Amino acid sequence: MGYPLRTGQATLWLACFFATQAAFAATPENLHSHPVWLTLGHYHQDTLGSGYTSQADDPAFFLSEHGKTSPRDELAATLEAIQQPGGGNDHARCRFPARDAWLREQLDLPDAQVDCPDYDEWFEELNTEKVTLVFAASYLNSPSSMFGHTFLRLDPPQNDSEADLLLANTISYAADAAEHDSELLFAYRGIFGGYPGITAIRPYYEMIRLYNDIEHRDLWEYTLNLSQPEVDTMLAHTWEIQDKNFDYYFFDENCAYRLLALIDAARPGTNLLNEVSTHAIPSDTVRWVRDAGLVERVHYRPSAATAVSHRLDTLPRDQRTIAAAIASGYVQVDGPELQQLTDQERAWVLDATYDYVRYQSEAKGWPREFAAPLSHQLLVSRSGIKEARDMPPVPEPEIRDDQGHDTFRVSLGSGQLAHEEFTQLTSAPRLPRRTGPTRRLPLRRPTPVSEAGRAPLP
Amino acid sequence: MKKLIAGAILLGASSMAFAQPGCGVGAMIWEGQSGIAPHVLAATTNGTFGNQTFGMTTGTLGCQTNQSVQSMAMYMDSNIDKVARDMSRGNGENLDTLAVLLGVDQVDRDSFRKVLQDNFATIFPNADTTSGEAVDAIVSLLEQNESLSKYVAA
Repeated sequence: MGYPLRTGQATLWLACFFATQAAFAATPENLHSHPVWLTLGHYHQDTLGSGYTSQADDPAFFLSEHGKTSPRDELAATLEAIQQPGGGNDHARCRFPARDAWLREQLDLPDAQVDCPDYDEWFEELNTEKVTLVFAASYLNSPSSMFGHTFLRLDPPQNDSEADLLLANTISYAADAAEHDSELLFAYRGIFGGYPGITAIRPYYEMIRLYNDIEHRDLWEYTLNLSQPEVDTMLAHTWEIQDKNFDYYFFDENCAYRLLALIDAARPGTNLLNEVSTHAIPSDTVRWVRDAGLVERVHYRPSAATAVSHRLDTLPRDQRTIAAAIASGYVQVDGPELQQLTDQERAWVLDATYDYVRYQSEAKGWPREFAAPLSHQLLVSRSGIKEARDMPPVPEPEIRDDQGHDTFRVSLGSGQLAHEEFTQLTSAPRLPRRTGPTRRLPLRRPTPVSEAGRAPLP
Repeated sequence: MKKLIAGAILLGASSMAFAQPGCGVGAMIWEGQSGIAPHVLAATTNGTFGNQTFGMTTGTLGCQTNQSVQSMAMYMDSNIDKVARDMSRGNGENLDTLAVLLGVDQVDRDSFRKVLQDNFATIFPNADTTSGEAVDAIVSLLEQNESLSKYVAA
C-alpha cells in the first residue's frame, strides 16, 4: 500500500520536518522508523535481528494485523484509516488522536475537524495545564514498596479559584493485586507479587489517602515543564493506550516504565526509555526525569506519620507531656492542665493530639470506642479557638530521593522512619535535626486518671 | 525472566473512569475502593458510596438536585477525618476543597470557613455522626446564612 501523498505535500512536509527533527533524515518511505512513530507504537528493536516489536499486547492497539511487528504496515494502515471520511468514537482519528495529529503534521494532511464525543469529553474533564510526576517514597517494612512508586498528576489551570490540586486526576500504572475482588481495587502490592497491571485515572486525594495516610509514605511532587501542546499530546497518547493490554514485566516494564513512555511521547527526543536497561526503579526514573531537564519545581508532601512526628516535636516539652497524657486518657480534654495554657498553645496541643490519635487508629488499630469519642472531644474543643496561628510546616528532608546515589541507598535513606519504631512514638527519627533523647507515648490505655497524675514519659 | 505477568487491563473509555466527586458514572467506581482503613472520627458508610447512604434533605438520587452538594458528600465520605480536622481549625486544604466543590466564591470563603468552625459541634454532634448527617447539617447551616445559601440551593 502506498502513501497517499502528492508531490507538493511531500515537499512541504520535508521542509517542515527538517526544521524540527534534523537528526532523523526521514522520507515518506522511512517515516515508519521515525523515533516518534516508534514511541507512539511502543516499538522496540528486537534483541536478535533488525526488526521491531511493539510492547503493546492487544490487537485493539493496532490497525494492521501485522502491527505488532511491523511499524511500516501499522503506519500505512493508520494513514489510510485516518483519512476515511466521517467521525465518531470508533473512527481511527478518535481512537488514535496522537498518531493522527503527528501524521497530519508530518505529512501536511488537511486537519479537518473530527467529532469524537467520548474523547472530547474525557479530554475536557481532565482539564490539564501541567503534569506533575509524583513519587511515593519507600518505607522499610513493606517489601512491595521498597523502591517507591510513581504516578502522574494532571494539574488543572491554577489561575482561577476553582483550581484544586486535591481534586486533580492522576494516571498510574500498577500491578493489580486483586483483579477478581474488584476491578477497581487499587493495586500497588502486586509489583512484587505477580499480578496483572492496570492503568487507572484517579483523583489525587485518593492517592494522598493511600500513600500519605494509610501507608505513611511521603510524597514528592515534581512538576514537569511540559508546554501545553506537549501536555495535550501526552493526554492524547494516554487515551490511545489506556484501555489496552500491556504485559507487565517484573523489573523493567513496570509502574514507572509506562509513565516514562508517556513523557517520551509528550516531548519527542526525550528518550527516557533509553535509560532503562535491566530495571526501572521509580527512584531512578525520578532522577532520569530530573537529569533530562524536565522538572520545573519540586514540592514535598509529608506523610501523616511525618506530620504527627513534626507536630509533637514542635511542642515544648511540658505541652508534649500533656498531649501524651490526653492521648493516653490520663488527662481530660477540658482538664486544668489544658486550661492553664494560652489559646494558641492549647490549639497546638489539641491539633497534635488529634493527629496522633488518628495516626494510631489507622496504623495501630486503636479501638474505635476509645479513639472516636476522644477525637470528637478534641475537635469540638479545638473549634472553640479562633484565630490560632498554624503550626510551621514540616521542613523538607535534606536529601530528596532523586538526589541519592544508587537505588539501594535511596531505598534505605528515604525509608523515613521505620514503621514499628514510630508506633512507639520514638520522636522523629527521620527528621535530621533531632536532638536529645527519644520519647515515647504509651500505647495502651493506662490506669484511671485520678491515680495517674501525669503520663509516665521516659 | 520475561513475562511474569500478562494482561494489563486498563480502565478504558468504556468505563469513563473518573473517580471524581460528582454524578453519574463517576460515582459508580467509588464502590469498594475505600474502606482500606477505618475512619477515626465519624462512622462512615463502610467504604461504599451508595444512594442509601445519605438522608439528605436535598435528595440523593442522581443529579437532579444540587450536584455540588453531591460532590461535597462524596468527598466527605472519603475524607471525613481530615475535613473534620480542618473544620475544627477553621482552615486547611480539605476545607478549601469543600469550598471549591460547592463553588463558593473567594469573597465568601472567610465566612464559609467561619460558619463551619463556629458550628462544628452542630455538624458533628457526637462521635458517631455519619458523613451523610454531617452533610445534611452543613447544608442546613448554609441555607440559613444570607450570603452562603445560594451555594446549596437545589
